[in-house]
Amino acid sequence: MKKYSLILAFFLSIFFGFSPISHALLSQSVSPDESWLTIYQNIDRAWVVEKVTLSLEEGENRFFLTGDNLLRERLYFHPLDPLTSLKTIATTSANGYQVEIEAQEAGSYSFLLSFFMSGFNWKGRYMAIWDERDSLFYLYPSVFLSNHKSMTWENVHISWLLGEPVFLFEETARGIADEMKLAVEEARPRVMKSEKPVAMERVSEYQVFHLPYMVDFPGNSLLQVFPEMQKLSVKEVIRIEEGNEVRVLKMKNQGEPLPGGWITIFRENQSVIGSFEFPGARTQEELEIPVGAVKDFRTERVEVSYKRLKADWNKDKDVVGFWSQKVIRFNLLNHGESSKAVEIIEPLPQGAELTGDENWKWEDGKAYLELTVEPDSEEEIVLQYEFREDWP
Amino acid sequence: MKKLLLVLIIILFISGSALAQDLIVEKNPEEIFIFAGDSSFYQKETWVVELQPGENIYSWEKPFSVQEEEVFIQVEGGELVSLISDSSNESTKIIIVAEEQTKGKIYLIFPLLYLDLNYLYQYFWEPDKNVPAGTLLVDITNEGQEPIPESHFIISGKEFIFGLKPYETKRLVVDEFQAVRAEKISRYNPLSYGDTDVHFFWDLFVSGDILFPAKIECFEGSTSGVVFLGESYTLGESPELEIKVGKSNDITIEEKIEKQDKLNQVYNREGKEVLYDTQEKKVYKVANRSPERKKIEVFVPLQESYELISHSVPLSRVESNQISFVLEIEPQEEVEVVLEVAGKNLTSGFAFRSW
Repeated sequence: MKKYSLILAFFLSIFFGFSPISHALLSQSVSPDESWLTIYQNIDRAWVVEKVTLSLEEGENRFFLTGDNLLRERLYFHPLDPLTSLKTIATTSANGYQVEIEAQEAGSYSFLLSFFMSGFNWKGRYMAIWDERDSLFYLYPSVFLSNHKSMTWENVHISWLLGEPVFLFEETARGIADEMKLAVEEARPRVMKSEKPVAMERVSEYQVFHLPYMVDFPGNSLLQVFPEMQKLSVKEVIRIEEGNEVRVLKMKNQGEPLPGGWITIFRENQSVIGSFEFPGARTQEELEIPVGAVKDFRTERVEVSYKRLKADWNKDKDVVGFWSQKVIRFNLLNHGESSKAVEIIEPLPQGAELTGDENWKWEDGKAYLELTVEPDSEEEIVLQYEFREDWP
Repeated sequence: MKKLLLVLIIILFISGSALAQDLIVEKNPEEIFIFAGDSSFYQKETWVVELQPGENIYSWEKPFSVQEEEVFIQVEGGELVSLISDSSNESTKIIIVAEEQTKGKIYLIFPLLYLDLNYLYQYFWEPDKNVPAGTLLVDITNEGQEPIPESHFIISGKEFIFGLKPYETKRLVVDEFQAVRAEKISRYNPLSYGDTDVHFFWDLFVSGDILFPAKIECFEGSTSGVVFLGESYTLGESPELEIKVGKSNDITIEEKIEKQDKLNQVYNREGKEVLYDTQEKKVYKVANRSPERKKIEVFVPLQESYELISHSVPLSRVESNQISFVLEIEPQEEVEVVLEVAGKNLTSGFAFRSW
């Protein structure tokens, strides 16, 4: 079933009383030679491209399209032969459109007919196995493509676009309507796996991923497809920010861009670490996945010293501020069997100066230190800084 | 005396009635053209009339939706003296004085409020071309309940002949053209865009005679034929278009303050810091994660009272409180830009403003 049909002008002239200029072919529907469905993310739409071949008479030819609100759905009608040109598209009383095409010579000509169709979305989802011993991360991406409409697409090329176009919403609200969300819950999932990998094509600033085969995409269904597994080197870091510890997995994406989504991480023994937000990563970009608390590592952060080194006075001899010093001690206890890479990030008051250990770095208003804590050991770190504080 | 006045009034009334010619009743206008403006249509009617010496009064049935002050009337062959609008109906009296008997013309121009007009540009950029191809389209909708008979429409200097059924929309191809110049460029301007994303633009220079306030839809060729990239609006006031198409997936920007020192502080009687200078250093790390060369413009917001100490790339002063730099970055290249400034006589904050 197709979303539009092309019917001859002769047919039209009978039903809609159009002028007799139209050049009739035969009274039958025209099927597209090829169809592409590119699903966009978070705008509830897919970009439909259909290549159609029409037999035209010399001069003006009229055809009939059916579809919902096509003109507002960025209808793009593109003649592929310079001997043909689009003249007008007019609405008709029967929820359709009359298209006038002019041909310089009679013949068979191809056109691209493109427009948005609502009811589609996609999301990325990842499974991963973290090999802690060899510091490797086996990333298994999958993509869920959803068709919330009842219409089935047969033998269609499926793609999904990673990118954020400016899309000006007019009458319909952004996102999926409630009844469509209901439809998603009832959708019939299908899983597809192919020998050929998913191909990526850059179009302007976006990435378009193509399934390497044509599929049938039934109405109210969810199509899950599997791009290639990636093996990434991973570094585990314990980040201590304002005394709070979090374990962060750092890696670099060497392959095609990875869309954001959710990831569930397993250990090699299949035990689950948990599900986390996967931030997405461009080619050659580093990414971080915070994976929660650290069980075999403990941090104690104590503000051990505060001194007012100098007082500032006003002319009435009132105290108006101090030049003060603060010392913070961190005790890092590694109970694990492997050494741990640690990052300490401590916010500083405006204008603060680091005065203690030279290994600390000032960066963007924060004190920053990297170190390694050996297995089954304790490390004591001291941060010292001076700053001006107003009084009272 | 009263009788004399009555006779005079009757004579005046009879003579006036004899000269009055009803344009609508007697004949149709010789020509009707419908002109497209920037956002609405105007109808121009040309009436050919036989002017008599002296005063000529014509009656015109003004469309219901048109206000008196919206009608522009011009006369050939005589002098337009006055108009009298009767509030009880839509009739307007047009009073023209002619010196001699002659064939005259009355031109009436008024807006057609029941015709909706929306321009649309569709730009299609083939990957191997230097400029995109543009198509200027127009959507015309008859929002009235009456059909519009086949009429001459003048749109962007071109004539189209068609009619419109009630509530019918027609999309016409008005013009097909090439942009004169075109460039793809990304921009990072958190202060202006309200986010730290990199947005990509099509900067186009187009011919000045096809400029209309319109929506712009941008497309690019791909293996699947054509892909929609994004859309924007133009006011149609300049041939230079800066079309914000979408967000760039391939360029990342990281900005960090590396130094922020206060100097020469001055305190008031209360001991509060009221004036100071600063020495500041900021680093931008810009990376291109794509296999193509990319161009990006980065905007840096500043307090007005600053002095540049050093900069690792050429800078442009966009405004007194904003500078920008442009980078052309090779595939998979990372560029570090270092800017050092001094804040002079600041009363709050630092020279590098945060957005």
